[in-house]
Amino acid sequence: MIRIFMKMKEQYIKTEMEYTFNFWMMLVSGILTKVLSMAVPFVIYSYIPDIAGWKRDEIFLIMSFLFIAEGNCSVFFQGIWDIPAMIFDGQFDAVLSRPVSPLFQVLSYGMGLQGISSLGVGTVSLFVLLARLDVLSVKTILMSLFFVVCGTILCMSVYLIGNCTAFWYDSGGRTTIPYVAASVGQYAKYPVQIYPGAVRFVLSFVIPYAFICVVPVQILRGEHQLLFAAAMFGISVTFFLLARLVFERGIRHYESMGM
Amino acid sequence: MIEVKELKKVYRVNVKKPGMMGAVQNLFRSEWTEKTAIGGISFQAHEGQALACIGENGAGKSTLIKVLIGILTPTAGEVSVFGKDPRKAGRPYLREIGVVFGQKSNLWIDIPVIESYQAVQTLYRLDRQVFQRNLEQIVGLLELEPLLSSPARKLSLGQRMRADIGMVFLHEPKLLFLDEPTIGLDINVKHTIRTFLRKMNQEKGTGILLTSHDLDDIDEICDDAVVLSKGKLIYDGTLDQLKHRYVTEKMVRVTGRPRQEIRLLLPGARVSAEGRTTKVVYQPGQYSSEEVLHAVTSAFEIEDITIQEPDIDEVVSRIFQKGEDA
Repeated sequence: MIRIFMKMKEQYIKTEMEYTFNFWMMLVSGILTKVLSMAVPFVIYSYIPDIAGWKRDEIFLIMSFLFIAEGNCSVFFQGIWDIPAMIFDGQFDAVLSRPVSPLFQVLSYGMGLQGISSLGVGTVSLFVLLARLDVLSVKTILMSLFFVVCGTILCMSVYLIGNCTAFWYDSGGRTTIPYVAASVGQYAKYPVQIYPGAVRFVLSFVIPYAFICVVPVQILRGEHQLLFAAAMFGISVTFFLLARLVFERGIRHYESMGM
Repeated sequence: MIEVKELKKVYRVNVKKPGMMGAVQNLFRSEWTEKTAIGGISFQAHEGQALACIGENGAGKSTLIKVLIGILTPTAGEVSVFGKDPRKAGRPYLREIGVVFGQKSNLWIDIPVIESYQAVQTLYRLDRQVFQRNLEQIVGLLELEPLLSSPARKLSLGQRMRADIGMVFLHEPKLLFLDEPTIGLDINVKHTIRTFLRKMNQEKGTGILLTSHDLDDIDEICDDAVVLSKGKLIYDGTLDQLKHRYVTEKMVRVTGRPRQEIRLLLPGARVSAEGRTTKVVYQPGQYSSEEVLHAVTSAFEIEDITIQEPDIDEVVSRIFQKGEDA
């Protein structure tokens, strides 16, 4: 199963590479977007030394974790974004008529080029920042790996739940809900402590982007390490199970409604 | 093999009012009505049968197929395939059937055909030798060799359909569902596909349930038919009987310059002219063949003449006319 999954992805990369110009454009523009989005805190911090006790490099570290999680989702799980279109044009019938888990089929579908840039920029800056903050060690690398896995699962779950709304609403092949969720999540690029309580709650437990990127940096800073790590794990598992449940419910709804 | 009892499927549809105001209203309050796609039908099909499902657009054909695959839950009634309920039999059942929707591709659109085939091998957990043997047979019969290395999205419609039909036989399904498999294809491809399906049905005993608007498909592939009209079953039997039941008329097609008005000679016949060709349709009880021939020879300078039974197209349009009258 994993083998076939990777093979699909390999094929998609090969397909994208056939269009050489487009491939490089997407790659370069992806890198530029990510690097430029780091410019905002760069400018802010050239005027103020710290925000709510957070240093500049820690903000960049938060961004790195977010980039990596989003990049992974885009590279590996881009198919999630095709769900509304698949429902709309009936492609979902083909998915349901194969003896393979529909979730697996959806995840294996497609691949986002921008994700490669996002993943690349995120990984490089993660290592640079760990070194600059003087915490680069086998232990922090292993910890980061754990954060990245949890973050990717969380990110995927949010996308999946958002896109599954298309099962219930006649969306004409598009749905805005996952975009809204993803762009609200972008506020978690900054430490959530700077926001009012309600926003913090939303970013932690409704659209839990804080756990993708802010909480990992808090753990690396040494705040409540065990508690936060356990919470991250718990939230990731919970959201994944929730997303799967929503997806399965969606399919059941699709089966009883027909389109 | 297939057993359908009192099957009913009702959809809930969103009613949108026309115009801009209607669209705005729909944003705040949606209205729903019920639409019956299948209104209580029963039929059976035995192992290895090639069964056609005939019906006008919206007659419930696709819904029937989706219910039989297990994609849709029936509103009422019972469905069993191979003695199991398709909704509950799950993946082991899906492994025994194959599905081709004419308007959608089962191939992974961006990757070469052969990679899609190999994906099927893995996904269906096919033994390598079985896969290789089936692959060779399919590639041979459907002339797929030159297509295997192209991505599906670069294929023409005909090539893609051949590749799609080939793919569904890789896992040797016992029962195949085809929804409009030859829609939009040229005559050569249609012929290849029909011959292939017929061969698989006869040699491997693959059961077939086919819906098509192309009645030649049905004629060449299937022996039996069910006819649906507005969600009701209006015929269930062999194709030959279907023709005989509804076709009681004969048709003479004659090409040539008219000398006399044929309508005056055969007032009871239906006459239609198209360019230099005239079709005369009549009831055998009304006129004898001799009378008709006599009338035609005196009415035309005959260049060409054929006498035939109306084809299945004719049959079907007749059935639907009757369905509407009833």
